[in-house]
Amino acid sequence: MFDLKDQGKPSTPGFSQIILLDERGNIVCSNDVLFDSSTLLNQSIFSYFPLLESVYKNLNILKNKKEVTLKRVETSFKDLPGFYDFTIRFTEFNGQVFLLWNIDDLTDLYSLFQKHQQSKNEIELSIENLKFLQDGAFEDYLEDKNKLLAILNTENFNYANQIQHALNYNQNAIEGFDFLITNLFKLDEDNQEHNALQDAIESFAEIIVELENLSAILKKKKTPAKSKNNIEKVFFEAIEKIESQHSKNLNVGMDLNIDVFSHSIDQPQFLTKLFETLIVNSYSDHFSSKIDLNIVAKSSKQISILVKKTFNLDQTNGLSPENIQLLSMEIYLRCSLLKELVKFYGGEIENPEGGSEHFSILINLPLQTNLGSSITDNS
Amino acid sequence: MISKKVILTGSFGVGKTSLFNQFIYSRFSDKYLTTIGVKVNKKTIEVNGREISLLVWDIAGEVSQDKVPTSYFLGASGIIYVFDLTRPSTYKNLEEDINYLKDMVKGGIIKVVGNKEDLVTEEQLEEVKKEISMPWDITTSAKTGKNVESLFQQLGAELLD
Repeated sequence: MFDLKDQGKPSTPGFSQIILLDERGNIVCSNDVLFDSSTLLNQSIFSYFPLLESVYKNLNILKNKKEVTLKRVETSFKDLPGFYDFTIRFTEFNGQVFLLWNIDDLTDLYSLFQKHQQSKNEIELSIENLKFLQDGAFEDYLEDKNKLLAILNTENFNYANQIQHALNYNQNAIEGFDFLITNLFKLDEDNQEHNALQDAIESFAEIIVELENLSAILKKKKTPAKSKNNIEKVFFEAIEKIESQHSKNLNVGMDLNIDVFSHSIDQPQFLTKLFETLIVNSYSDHFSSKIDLNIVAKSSKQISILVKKTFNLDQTNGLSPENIQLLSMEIYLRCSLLKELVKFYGGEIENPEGGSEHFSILINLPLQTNLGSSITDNS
Repeated sequence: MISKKVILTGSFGVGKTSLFNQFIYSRFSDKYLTTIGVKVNKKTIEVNGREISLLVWDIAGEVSQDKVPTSYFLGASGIIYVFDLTRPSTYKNLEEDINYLKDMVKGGIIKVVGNKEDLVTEEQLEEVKKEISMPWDITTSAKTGKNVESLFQQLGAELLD
């Protein structure tokens, strides 16, 4: 059996599982992010997922379509309760037929979506049922309910955007399949991991160089507006590069909400979110177990972020020494990225506890701001 | 054994999930819970001494069928179009919807079902018949179970033909 461990990646806000099935519906390999597939070994998965059987029955159609995506799937499989998007792709290698099945867990978002859809439908039903009301009462009722529907529609739109956002991340897994399938049969696990880490390191190193260059440029610039634009531009480019790495299915621990960039860089919420994200991204690798952040406003011009990381070294067992070294380099470079960004804001990293995994960051806010209650304990 | 994909479709709140649950699990709940995507389950039935496995897709209701994701129709052999006998809004586009579905599943069997029979009187049922531009195939009640098995038996028989 091939090992897909570490090929899956944490996505925003859920997780994805990748499963490779043979032509009889038996599992060839899986990264087991969402459920333990070993309990289903030597059994056709079709008996647990009739949907797959249904799709598989139409393999010839699927061959032409290449892939089919089914959104908001509810399964009856006990280990997979919730809402998932399934992407099923037909593939052939050395004359052998495979189904690549990607499961994106979007339970949280879709549960909210369901609640809103339920409210909408119930209102529509109540409108239909109350049409017999007389003397303008129905019109008044309708007006009230239509206002409520308009609000719900807006919220649904927002959920739809969030879901799309999450899917943009989750799509990475299925896109990574091409890479996976092409290389699965010719590369051993170490080579794959080595390449992925090497790629990530190069990317992060590029970002840091760019940030350092920008620091130098900014020192010579005196126009705040231009500086601000430059900062935003570089952040966008840096984040794009990180996302690009992420989209190659390289497990670099990203958990970034790009929406923060739609807000002004001057807003404290923006900074809080940005640093919260960067810290988690910088110090979170796919072997770490937990990152706790405690963000507090020290004054109207300064925020403090206390960072605690708990390691679980057991999970690095099985990695080759070379890959452990590469992993360490990757984490080091990501930490460097964080330090550069703190420097951008004239902040500093304090280390009162003396341990590298337990430190605090002081960040000076760029303009006069009115820190609200939104910046409190965020651990 | 032959297995066929069957889709339950129609407007929201017409009782598709209730029909699905009644057919698959022989159970009914009065509580309305919106389906937002798709649920699939399988049941094997015997029709005239032959077995057929029905892979039933219960999908989210849409006021207009052209809003149903086309991927759901992939490889479907049968469609059960459900409307609510108590809600004119669920059958006002019946002809349009059926024509659309015929295009989506060429050569497939389409059964038109008037559900919630337990909520209408004979007279009301006659009124509905006058209102609808085309005849429907069967009247069901997911609550009492009336005609639910018959619906799938009829469909199974036509799929085996």
